[in-house]
Amino acid sequence: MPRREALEKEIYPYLASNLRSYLKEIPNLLLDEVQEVRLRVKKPLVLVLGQGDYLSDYLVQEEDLEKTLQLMSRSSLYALEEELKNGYLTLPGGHRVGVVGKGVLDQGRIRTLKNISGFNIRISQEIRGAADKILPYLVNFSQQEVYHTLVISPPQGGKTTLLRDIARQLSDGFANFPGLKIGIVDERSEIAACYEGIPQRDVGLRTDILDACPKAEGMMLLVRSMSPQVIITDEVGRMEDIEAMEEAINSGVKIITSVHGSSLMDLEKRPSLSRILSRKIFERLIFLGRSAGVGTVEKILDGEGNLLANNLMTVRGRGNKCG
Amino acid sequence: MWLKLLGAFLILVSTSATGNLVAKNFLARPKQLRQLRHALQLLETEISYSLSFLPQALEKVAKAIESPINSLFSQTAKLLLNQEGYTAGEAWKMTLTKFLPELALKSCDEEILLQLGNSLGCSDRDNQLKHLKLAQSYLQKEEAKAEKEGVKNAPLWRYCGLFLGLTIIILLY
Repeated sequence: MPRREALEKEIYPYLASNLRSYLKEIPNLLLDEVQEVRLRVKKPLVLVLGQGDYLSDYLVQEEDLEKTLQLMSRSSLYALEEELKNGYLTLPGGHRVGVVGKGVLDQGRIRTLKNISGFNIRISQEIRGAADKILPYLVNFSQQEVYHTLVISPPQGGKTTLLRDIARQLSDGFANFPGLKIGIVDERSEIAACYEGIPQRDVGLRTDILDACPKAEGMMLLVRSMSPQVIITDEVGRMEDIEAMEEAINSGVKIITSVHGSSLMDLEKRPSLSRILSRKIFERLIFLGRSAGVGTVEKILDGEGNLLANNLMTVRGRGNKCG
Repeated sequence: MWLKLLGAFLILVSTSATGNLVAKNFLARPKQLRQLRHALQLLETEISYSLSFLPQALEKVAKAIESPINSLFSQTAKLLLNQEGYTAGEAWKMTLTKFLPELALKSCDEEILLQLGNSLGCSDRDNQLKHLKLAQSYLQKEEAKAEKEGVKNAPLWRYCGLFLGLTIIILLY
């Protein structure tokens, strides 16, 4: 679904009517490029496009934000306490909405947010074939096995889109590679974008999805109950995630996951990740970047740090599908 | 002679029917208040235990209780599911203004319900429960009052109707 259509069908119903009618005035050409819609109280509404920001002349008001929050939570804030505590909501369609405001603390930890002051609405896109060019590097055709893979990407680098397509193709099977049993722990409901339990994105026919579960607990649950051959998760980083991953790897499951960052140096500074990197568990490291548009694969390394491929393929160009 | 008797009979029937109608209204209010309270209790369970989203929770409540109270809940759910941009509070208010004239409720009951609407869905679980409990306790008070009024007034109106009829007949005879 093109971005404008996704915006109109899946985002507009959750925006306060003022915002909705304002966005309808914006030329379609711009809407086709929208990656994020930014709402900040008393500040202009900003559309983040592929090649810069579009500053609008509409000042976002407090009641716009308040109403938008109610609509996004489908008038059920009580059901989204956990999500709000972590600062985001997921809309049907898999679009993630970051939320900031004033924290309400309970024993030093965030209990909930109030006086919401900003939203970051990220338009999620399903791009079938996003993983076409890198899949050959992720699998061992002769053994019919998948390598442990880590996708390293700055925010908005297209890693969720990539993981989703990897999941779909590994699950359905591609070329001479038979489909595998895939388990997805979708803590933020972004990969499969489940809405009331039903995935809104195609993640393959041999895929089991554990929706909205903490990664560490979820991985262990999958290993115990669903006998996956590959587990896919997004954005690992906490110590318990790493421990659960090691546990899963020890029981023979292949792991494909992603992490925020732009270089190996970045990752080695983080204690939880440096541990797993020093043990050289990952056999493939995929670096995404934005040098040639969102989703550029900067390089692919093997576990020893040898360069397998670099800079040659874009998963998708600026807002257009290619590859 | 027969004609007179028939006329008298008709007068008697119509006056006592009117009396009955008024009496029935007195009895309907406590009943509807009770149903409302029951509905809010169900909503409370949906919110606190199943953590259902409000539109779905309202639909479930609407299925579990009797007409005419259920229409309050089903209509609000419908407005929310249509995604026309109404918040729960707005949808609830619109539904109340539409359906209240059909119910036996008074303006004080309406106020309790409107108050509840303002907090519907826009706070955390504890707060939702607090508001639902509060509304229930107010409704219970009104229910007790209404019940008393009903017990007192319903027979009164019934007899009134009957005696009015008799009086008219005697006067006309």
